[in-house]
Amino acid sequence: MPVISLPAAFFLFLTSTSVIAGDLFDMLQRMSDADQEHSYQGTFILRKSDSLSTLRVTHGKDEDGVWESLEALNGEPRKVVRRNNKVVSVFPDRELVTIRHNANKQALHPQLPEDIEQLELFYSISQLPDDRIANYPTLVVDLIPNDDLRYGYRYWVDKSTGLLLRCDLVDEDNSVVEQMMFTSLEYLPQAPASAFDLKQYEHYQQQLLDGPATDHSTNIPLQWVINTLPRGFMLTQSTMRYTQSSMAENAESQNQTGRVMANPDLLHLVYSDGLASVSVFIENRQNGKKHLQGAATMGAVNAFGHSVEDYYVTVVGEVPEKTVRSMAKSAVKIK
Amino acid sequence: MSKRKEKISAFLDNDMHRDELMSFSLSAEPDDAKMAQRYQIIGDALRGEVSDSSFVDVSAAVREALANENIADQVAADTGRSSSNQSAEKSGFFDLSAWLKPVAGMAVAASVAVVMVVAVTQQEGSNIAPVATNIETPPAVQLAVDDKMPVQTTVDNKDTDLDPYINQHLEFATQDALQGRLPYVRAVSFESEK
Repeated sequence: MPVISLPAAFFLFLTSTSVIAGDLFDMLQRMSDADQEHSYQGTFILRKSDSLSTLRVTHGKDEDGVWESLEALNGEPRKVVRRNNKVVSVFPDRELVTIRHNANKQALHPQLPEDIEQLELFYSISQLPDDRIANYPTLVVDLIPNDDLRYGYRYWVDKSTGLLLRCDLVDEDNSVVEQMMFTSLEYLPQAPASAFDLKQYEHYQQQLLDGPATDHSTNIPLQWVINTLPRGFMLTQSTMRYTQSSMAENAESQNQTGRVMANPDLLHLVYSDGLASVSVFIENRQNGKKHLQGAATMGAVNAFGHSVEDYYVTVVGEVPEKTVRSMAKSAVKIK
Repeated sequence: MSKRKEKISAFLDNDMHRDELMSFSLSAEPDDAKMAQRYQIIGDALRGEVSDSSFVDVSAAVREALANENIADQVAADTGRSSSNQSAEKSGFFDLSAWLKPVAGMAVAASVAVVMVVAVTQQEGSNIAPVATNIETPPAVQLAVDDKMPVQTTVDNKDTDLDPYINQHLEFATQDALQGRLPYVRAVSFESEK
């Protein structure tokens, strides 16, 4: 029986651990790139708390970039086509088309955190036994948080393409709070153009959902500080937006005078640890609308509303309720 | 390093045995909070994780929590009640107020320690975090789940419109590659359920 010295065994252990970690990070990188490299069509389910939705996805790429179409297979018929920052929703029963341009002008292909290895500070990353999803062999990776202030993520990734075929969000009790899973999937040499063709809906009523342009500078002087943040959460974006009442006021003034009268009056701060993200909205209480006071839940998304002096603070994010609660309650206006 | 400093360091590193936690909390001293805060900031800096929240004024949090807890008032009220019943109590085996003072003092000390624990561990996310619920408002009462009501809100919030906030949050969350298409699917699903 071969004998390995203790230092050698320790070195082997370190080497194998770093190889595994490296492989896992490579896999996460492949997962993030897969949508840019493959065309496919499939059906997946989305489970949130006790509600279940089924959606058909068609994903394609051409010389201009990446397209994606999502079609709801239960509830009211609807189809959503997105291309870069443009999102078109079609509601055939209402003969309605809504068009929205995502304000942050993001690409359809989302970005990985700049330093993915930073995640290891806040999550324990491990590989679980292989599995099979929608008849494709998958690698399974667990990202379990080191605290109970964020959810854990479990990924099932197609071994050959890197496509994410299933994702579970789990809470501290390892209970699934949200789940997305493909039930069927077909890779295509080229996605059918008909999936993204919107000409047939041209006679529908069209609504533009975009608000007035907002200030997306990340250099807005912050007058607020959130004192209680889970470790690793950093401010990634600060934006001045419009509250619903200001948007209504602007729509009216634009109709009458052609000019926008109200200024942006909603501060939107985004915090992230590179995986989970939380939004903090702060607005003046002069707005007469009824605001959330306390907690609200939608699957993995939790919200908490709280009054601070003459302001409403609303925190929304895919993190446990205790996190949005403590963040909302620790919001302080800098004097 | 003094024993006290070692204990604070062990506490911050989550190396303190649970049996030690209570005695550590009960023996909290005013300077402990400052020292813990310094250690916390040094630790964050060494890990390159310094954020605004690293500089939470723990002492202020302790003072505020003490004011909210109003333990001193409760003690005074209890003492008042004991005074009104003084003759009856004095006719017993011992003077209750004489016992109340040290017990109340210990309660205040424990409260300071617990608040310090909460303030320091808020950033840590340790298992002690649930203690924080002691100084916060009780959890909101949830309505019964209804398929047609995707957002479960508190009773007082059923007329509030959270949609704009959730939509705007999901719009930004879709940038996150490691979430896959989840945020986007959430947004589509959320819109369809309204």
